[in-house]
Amino acid sequence: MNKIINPPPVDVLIIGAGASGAAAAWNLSSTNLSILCLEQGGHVKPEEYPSTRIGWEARKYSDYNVSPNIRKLPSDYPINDSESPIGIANFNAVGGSTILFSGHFPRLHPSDFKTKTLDGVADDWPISYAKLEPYYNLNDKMMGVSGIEGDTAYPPIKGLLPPIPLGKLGETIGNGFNKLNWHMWPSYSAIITRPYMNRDKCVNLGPCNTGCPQGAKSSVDITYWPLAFQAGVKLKTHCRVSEVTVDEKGQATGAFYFDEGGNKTYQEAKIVIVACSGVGTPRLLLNSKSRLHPEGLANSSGLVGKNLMLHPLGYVEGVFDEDLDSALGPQGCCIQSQEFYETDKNRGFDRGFTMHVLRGNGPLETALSGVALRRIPTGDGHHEAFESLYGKTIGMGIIVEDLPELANSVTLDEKMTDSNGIPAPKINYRLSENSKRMLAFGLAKGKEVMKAAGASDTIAFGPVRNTGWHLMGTARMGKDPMNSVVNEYGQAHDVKNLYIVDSSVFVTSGGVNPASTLQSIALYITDHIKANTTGHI
Amino acid sequence: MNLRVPSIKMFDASEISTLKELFDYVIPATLNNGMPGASFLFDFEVNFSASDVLLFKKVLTQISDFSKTKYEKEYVKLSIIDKQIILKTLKQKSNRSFNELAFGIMRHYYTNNTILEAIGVKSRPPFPDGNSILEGDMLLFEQVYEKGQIYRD
Repeated sequence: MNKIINPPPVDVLIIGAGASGAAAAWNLSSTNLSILCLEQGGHVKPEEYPSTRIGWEARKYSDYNVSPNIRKLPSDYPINDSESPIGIANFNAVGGSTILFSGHFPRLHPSDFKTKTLDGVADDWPISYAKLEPYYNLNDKMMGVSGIEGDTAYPPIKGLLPPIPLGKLGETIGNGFNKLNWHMWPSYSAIITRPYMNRDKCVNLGPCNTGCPQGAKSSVDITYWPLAFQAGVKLKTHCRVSEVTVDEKGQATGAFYFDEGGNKTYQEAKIVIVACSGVGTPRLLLNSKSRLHPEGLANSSGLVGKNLMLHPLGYVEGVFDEDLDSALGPQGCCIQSQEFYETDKNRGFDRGFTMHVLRGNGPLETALSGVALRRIPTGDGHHEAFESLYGKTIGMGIIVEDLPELANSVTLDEKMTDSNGIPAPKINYRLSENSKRMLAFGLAKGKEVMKAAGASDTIAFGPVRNTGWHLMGTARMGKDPMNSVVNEYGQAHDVKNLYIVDSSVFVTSGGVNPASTLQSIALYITDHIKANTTGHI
Repeated sequence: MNLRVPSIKMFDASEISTLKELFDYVIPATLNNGMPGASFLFDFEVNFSASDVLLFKKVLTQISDFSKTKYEKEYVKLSIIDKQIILKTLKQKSNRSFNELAFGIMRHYYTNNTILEAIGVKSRPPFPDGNSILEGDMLLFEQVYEKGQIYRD
């Protein structure tokens, strides 16, 4: 355990092999830089995904649970989220949370980058939608994104693969939106609907959220990583980084990590790129204290870990008399509505939300949620109630924009540690009054559209507990070093050879899934590194 | 009784009998659509987890205690009506245990191939042919398109 090994130095060390780390690794692989990525998880094997076995749904409650605190795999670290109404969800492996994500892949809106200017809330980003647009386009191309052009909620988005099938469910809810004359559009889905880049198309297996054995869902283990490996990027798995180190000038020199055998190892690097998520990144920085960075690395602003945004998620469900085959098809991709995305002060809150139509549940989840919500009894009447729900429900997520607040934060837990003795992150989070009002409004609107679509019964509640997938804002970007952690190029104000490329750098959260944006930012930041670095450093 | 559930070897015949009644109390059989009660799981080599077994043991103890307190008899010696009263008592007074048990039973029941077939799940893992889904009417979006831009520049 005490043995310290020193592998050869590298030019670039990337910490984290998830959505952003993969995009960064691929983009830098076109240079002559030597690149190493360290990932605490391992390679997943699609042939072992739960949905290749009959009991797949049950594994959502054990080793494929969304919460690391329930999963408790060797690759996981515990997260103290006991005082937060929203539990943290993630997955630690090559591919990170894209292994379990639904593939819902909308972009931020132009207005998301200038909320202060437009609405007088939060802060403007130091970059614009226009600046990021080429990277959104490149990322869509690299990942493989399905959808349809002409969405009135966005500037033109081109080059999409044909959309995911709507199914009876999509047509039904689509008619509901049209009755109300509300915006709706086929989901932007990181799921390929045609053979694409040596991958086969989606065949509507359904269980996207426990990994896609078909390889149609664009998790980065099958998009960016194979290309990065081909170009020479090295990846070490089961390596958990404990600390980024600095020299006497306070510049990054590399990182200590624990390898699979628990050996403490030092990796020297000329540039360090952190891509550990909005929780993992501040945890690492806060744990990287030194004489020159006594409050944690890159934390002279005191903002590392602050301004945590989680997207409180509301859930609406409509029950229909007709069988909609709703349990079939990509779980998280069908239709989205951004009717209430842009600010309308008359609604009683700032900013807005996306209504994200979900497919119905599988048999087990129908039964479990039905019993939990008292829609299916145990005992007499169980089967009849089950039959009235299975295949006949439409779900909807209300993705509420969370505004940044200093008190919402990630800190280091004083007692809890991971298997390597590294302090666990603690989540200090409360819903703001603005988020509460927006959530209540969104739930009511969700029920309204379900009824318009013909639902005989509806339920709505939120925030849903273990839905904290979207971890943003904890190392925000900005031009002022007093009010941000990194500059507009993801470069730490305090440590010039330290970059952060994940959603920690988000200034605001928008009301959409962040994967598309955080990957585009990783491409944009690494383009800056490429432009300012020639050959070996 | 020819039980083939490995973890069920942790229980004696009397306990298994009680568990079967308990399983059927949670998910009873129906005659009209032919769905079996959850005790049918005992006909399969269901691999109950260690935590399932612990939970079953705990609930069996609670049932025994309720039975002795109310009737001064072992549960297995009660009439059918009295047994139902005891199981109802369990549900009411040990709500947490009962719910954990019910959820555990449902996890096995609704991932059983026979049950999935019975409820009409045509395509089951490993989904050799995927699923056929209606493409849907894309003209539905014309109304939205005609309204024009809603985002702010």
